Parts: sequence; C-alpha cells; structure tokens
Amino acid sequence: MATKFEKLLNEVPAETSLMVSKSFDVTERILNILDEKGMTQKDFARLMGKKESEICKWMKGTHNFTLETISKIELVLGETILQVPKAVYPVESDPASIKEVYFDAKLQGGSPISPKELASHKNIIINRFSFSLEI
Amino acid sequence: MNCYKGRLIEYLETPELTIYTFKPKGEECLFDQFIGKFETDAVYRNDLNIILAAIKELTKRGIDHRRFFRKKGEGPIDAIPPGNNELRLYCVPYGRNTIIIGNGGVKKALRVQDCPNCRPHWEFLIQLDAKIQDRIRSGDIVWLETNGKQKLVGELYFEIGNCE
Repeated sequence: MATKFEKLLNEVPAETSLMVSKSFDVTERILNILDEKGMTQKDFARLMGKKESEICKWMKGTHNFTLETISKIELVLGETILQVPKAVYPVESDPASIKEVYFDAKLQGGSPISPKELASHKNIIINRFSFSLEI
Repeated sequence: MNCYKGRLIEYLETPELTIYTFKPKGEECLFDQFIGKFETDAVYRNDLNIILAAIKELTKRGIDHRRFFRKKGEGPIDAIPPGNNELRLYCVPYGRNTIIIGNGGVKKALRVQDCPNCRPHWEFLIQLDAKIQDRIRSGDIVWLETNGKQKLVGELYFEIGNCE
C-alpha cells in the first residue's frame, strides 16, 4: 500500500521535482569541487561573502539558485558548475548545393587503392559509375 | 515534553534509502502528521512540495553526509528546509542509507531552541536518538545487514518525554 508520502508525491508539480533534482546536482558538483580543492564549506562561505549557516542550508539541495548566484560560485571556485549545450542551427538543404559524386572506375579494378594512386588521380573525374554487388 | 509512547517503524524502503519514523500509539506516524498539517495549507503547500521532492531525491541518491554537516554542539538532529523558507522537517540521518524522519513546523525564530513551533519536534528526536544509541550500545537494538542493507532490529518500542 502506498504511503501518504508516495501519494502526495504524485501531486508535486513536475517543475518543483525537477528544480529540486537540479539543485541536488548543483550542490553535489559544488561539494565535489570543494573536496577536490581541499576546501571546507566555511572556506566557501567566506569566498561567497555568506554565513556558513546559509551555505549549509544551500547544500541540503532545496535551494533555488539564480544564474547570478551560480555565476558567482563559478568565479570564486574557478570551475564550471552549469554547462548548457551550445545551440546547433540546422542548415536548410539547398538542391543546388548537392554535388554529384563521381568515382574513378579504373582505380577500382578489384585491388585496393594506395594513397599514392589516389593522390595521382585526385583531380581526375572520369565517368558516372553505378555499383553492383556480386556475391 | 509530553509523553510519547510508540514504536519506531519502517516507513519506506528503496534500494538507496530506508526511511524510519516514529508511530505514537493510536496516532498517525510523525512523518504523516507533518504531511497532514501542511497538505491543505495554501501558504505552506509549496514548501511542503519542495521538502517531499527533496526526500524523493534522497530515496534515489542515499544520504550524502556532506549535505548533513552539523557543527559541534548542534547534535545529530538535522532539518530539511524548503530553500530559504520557514518550514522545517526534522530528521536524523544514520550512515549512507538510513534516515529517521520526525515531525516539524514553521520556524519563527532564528534558533530552533527559541521556536515554540519547532522546538518540541527537535527535542523529541534528540531524546529518541539518544535512546536508540543507548540500546545499540547495550545490544537491545542491532544493525542487521540483509541484502546489503542495514536494518534496525530489536526493541523498537519507546517511551519519550514525561511518561512517569
């Protein structure tokens, strides 16, 4: 039987759950950096100009960090906390940009093409070529 | 403090965390009492949601003691706050995979000792934790490892507060 906690958890808005999950990720990252640098939460509080009790509260994983706060944390720790994938803009297909591909049939006489052979033919476009596979 | 007679019960188990809470005789367990106090409260419902979401994360990740760092003199009792807001749920983390969740309230003073809403719940957990530690030392309660997880087994009935 589901507990009261489990029942109510279903009513928690998805954005609240996601915010807390991300806050856990952010604080885990900060805690790992502090460990790597041999720093305490007290050292971190001093660098941030905050009370240790406030930093302790942040580390519980429920703090709603602003981008301004995260930027300051990144600066004082000298490490990246958040990494956002760079935007990739799709290039629209331009039929005119599609080039026909030609193969040098003479080079494909059944034996592998050496780089030297290829280099000597790289500017030669011979004939349109269709492939067939014989097994 | 009032007299509380009841049992420490296992509330929820996940691969990463076992949640215990205290169930006073004839009443809901303390964790459910806390949820019940705020689930229909328009002012604190969002804070309750944040606390519940944090417990959900603990059930997935286990206890990271770097998050539950307490200064000397503050004892083993910790609180889960909803960010910078006032609601508090008191708890005692044990090791990596066990937590006892008690009750809580709206913290209206800087120090929990000065807050009439929170102090009773905080003091209750201090006394409960002290008795658990005593029983572990005497062997009346043991940590039993089953399937790689540690469980509290033994005399889990307690009388806390002024029960004389």
